[in-house]
Amino acid sequence: MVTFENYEEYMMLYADGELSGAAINELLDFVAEHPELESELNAYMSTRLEPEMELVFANKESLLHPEPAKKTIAFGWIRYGVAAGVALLLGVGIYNLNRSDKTLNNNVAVTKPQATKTQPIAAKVVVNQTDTINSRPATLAPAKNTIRKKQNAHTTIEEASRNQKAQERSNLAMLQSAPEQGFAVNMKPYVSDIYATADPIIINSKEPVRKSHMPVSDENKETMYALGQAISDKVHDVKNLTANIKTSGVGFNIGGKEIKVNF
Amino acid sequence: MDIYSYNACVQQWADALFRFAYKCTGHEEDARDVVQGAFEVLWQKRGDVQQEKAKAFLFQVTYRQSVDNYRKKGKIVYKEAERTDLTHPQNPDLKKILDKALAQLDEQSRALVLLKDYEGYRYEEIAQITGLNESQVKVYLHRARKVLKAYLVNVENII
Repeated sequence: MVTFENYEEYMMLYADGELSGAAINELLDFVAEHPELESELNAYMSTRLEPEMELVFANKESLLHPEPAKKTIAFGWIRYGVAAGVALLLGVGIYNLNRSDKTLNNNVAVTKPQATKTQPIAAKVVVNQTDTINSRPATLAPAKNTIRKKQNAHTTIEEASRNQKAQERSNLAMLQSAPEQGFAVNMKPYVSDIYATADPIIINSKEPVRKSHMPVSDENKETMYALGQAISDKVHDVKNLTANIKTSGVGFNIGGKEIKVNF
Repeated sequence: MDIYSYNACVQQWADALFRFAYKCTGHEEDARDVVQGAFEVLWQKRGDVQQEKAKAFLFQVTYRQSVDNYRKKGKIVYKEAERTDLTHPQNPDLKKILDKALAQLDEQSRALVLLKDYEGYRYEEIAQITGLNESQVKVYLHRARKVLKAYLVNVENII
């Protein structure tokens, strides 16, 4: 609260700019109530100095420290020539790559349908004299390891298992009807132990019998086969490309000197 | 602080420091020397000074050097003739009187008034620059205000 005892300090704080808004209002109200103090307040406010902006430090640059210059590369005609040569080499390389890419893409496009045609959904397994059913893992689940027809996505596991068992039984009947002769069976090489008989059934297959426990669906197997075929084709094309590059060469002129680069 | 920050400080604060040093020492050449010395110290300690605290650091060095300089040389005489032809928002007569009143103050009070009025520093910031505590700053400043006011009132009465 502003009083006659402290109003002068309030005035000096006001001149110093250290009074809050509420305190300023209190002081101004007090001065308004006591107009004889107005001249004193004005005197204190007049003691505030204003910076003389015309006073400046002449030649400020003398205080500055030189900043490190950015390194610039002087491009002479030799540098331009080298740059052109590098650009030419890059261009030739990119051109060759584009050509090879087109070729590879075409090959892949052709091989895909071929793979689909040549690879049956169910791999044919031929019984031969080298492998017996008894030698296969006994833990294989029939539902997972037998070949099944294409089923709807909504087919339950029980239905699938039932269908597979039926299929296996028919396959077994076919095997038993001609145990001496090798014949093609539309089934996977994995057969559960329930088909083990006293007389070993020999599977005559060009494909090595897999002893993996991981079941692979026909669709996945087909896709993997197609992928493998495509990779094989790609490797073949890359080999051809390498052979082509070995016989390539580029020549260019720098500063009147002819430079030839053979790959 | 890197070289770019240092040079930015030169561009930003050299004039304000020169005004402050000139008003403290009363001599233009001395003020130039003081400012130059302050920037030399800043350059040497640039690894320790952050850019946002560079202004306070510069004013701290300038304050000390100005006070030391004044104590060696004594009385202040501002070159009034050189300033009268320049435009100034304050009344030219009032400005002359204020310059004379400022010269009446001791070097420390003068520096406090200049830091407060020229740079708008708060008591706490002035305390950090001058090495005084906040209460001392307030007391010295109020004492200086009373001297300046008394000088103005007396001159006005004469006029």
